Amino acid sequence: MYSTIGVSTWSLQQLTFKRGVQLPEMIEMIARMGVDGLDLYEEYLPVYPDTNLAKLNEIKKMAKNAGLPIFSTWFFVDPIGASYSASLEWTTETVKKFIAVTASLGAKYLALPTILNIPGVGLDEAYDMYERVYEKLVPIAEEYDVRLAAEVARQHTPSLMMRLQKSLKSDYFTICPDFEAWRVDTPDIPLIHQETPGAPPSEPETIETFTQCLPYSPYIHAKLLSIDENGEEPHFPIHEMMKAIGESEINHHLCIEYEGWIPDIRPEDDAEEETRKCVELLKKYRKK
Amino acid sequence: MPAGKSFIIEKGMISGSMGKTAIGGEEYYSIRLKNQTLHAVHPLGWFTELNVKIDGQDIPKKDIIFELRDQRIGMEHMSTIKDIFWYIMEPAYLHVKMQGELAPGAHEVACEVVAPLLEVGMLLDAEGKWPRRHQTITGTVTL
Repeated sequence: MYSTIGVSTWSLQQLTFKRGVQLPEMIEMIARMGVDGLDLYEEYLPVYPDTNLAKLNEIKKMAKNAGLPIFSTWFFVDPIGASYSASLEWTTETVKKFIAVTASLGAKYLALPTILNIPGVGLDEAYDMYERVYEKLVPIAEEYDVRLAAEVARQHTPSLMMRLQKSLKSDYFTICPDFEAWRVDTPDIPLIHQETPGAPPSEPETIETFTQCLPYSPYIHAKLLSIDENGEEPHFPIHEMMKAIGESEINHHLCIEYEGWIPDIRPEDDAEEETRKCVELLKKYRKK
Repeated sequence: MPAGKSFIIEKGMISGSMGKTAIGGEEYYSIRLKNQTLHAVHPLGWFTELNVKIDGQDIPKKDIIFELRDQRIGMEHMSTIKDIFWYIMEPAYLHVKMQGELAPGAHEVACEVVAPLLEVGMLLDAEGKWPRRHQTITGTVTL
């Protein structure tokens, strides 16, 4: 089916660190890239410590004036990490606030990370914890007409969230495959992640698993790290993933998360230029 | 959190120069820091420790004051702050009281940033349930 393409503010965050670029300029940049929408991450949202509704409205107007629908928001809140550290009630109330923020921006999706790093907690226990949290969150998402997108960017998380989707049976709980879970281990970018220091490199998930996620995945994180001289991304099975997306039975929104700017990858590269290349890459492969 | 090991962009986080500030009748050396954590928005207490060395000398927490938006907090108490958020690239100051005077010229400053592995940017690990992530930022700072 058809895919739309958006660019996340994460893709361009390097420009804030290097040149002080703020959201208005970033939105203009993304508009010039010729994409279908915008994905807003928490660094640029006026929600901490309290939500500023007037500023949220200004952001909404800026995006509209630039001709960019706001597709999604992302917040740095692992729901079970929050429940374990604070409480289920705290987590529910906090995510409820973010759901309301997402609705007020007119965005369809709220993405939250899925992380498996609670000390001493295995997969089954993590599943039970996620089930308890999302059972509380899904009715709130329905009330606000915002779809929750459980970002799966690590080994085992796609299967865990597919199991949960089958249990919850709600269109308001979706799975957000993040290409990172399908990245291959290479000498230039080992398959390690900072939330699990000292852990051995993880294994990439299979294309079969990616395909199995797709019926529940209208919103996808296209994590990309570097584009080579042929315009390809050698760290992911892009061709296979985009083929599966093209053959999917539902439409998808692909949110580009260019991440090559971080210190451990290629901080010398320019995020705007590289993000443009990412847009071209996905446009080349997407089915129209 | 992203790939790799770093959770902070080191380059440019510590200013290239320092000045002096009088606080409570005492003289402090003031070094500017910018918030260059990758997922950047955090309450100050998310940083469970900021351990500072100048020219290899450990500075006791009691001799450091962290200043953000004209609010000064003793480093010993910073890990309790839930409601003061440090935003992306926002400047803050480390005011450091030294035993003895620093000579004019270049000094090596190191700041070890310690934070929980909890993947919730707005929550403190007050009960110490999580292992820690560590990254040391260095810079040459001229007085």
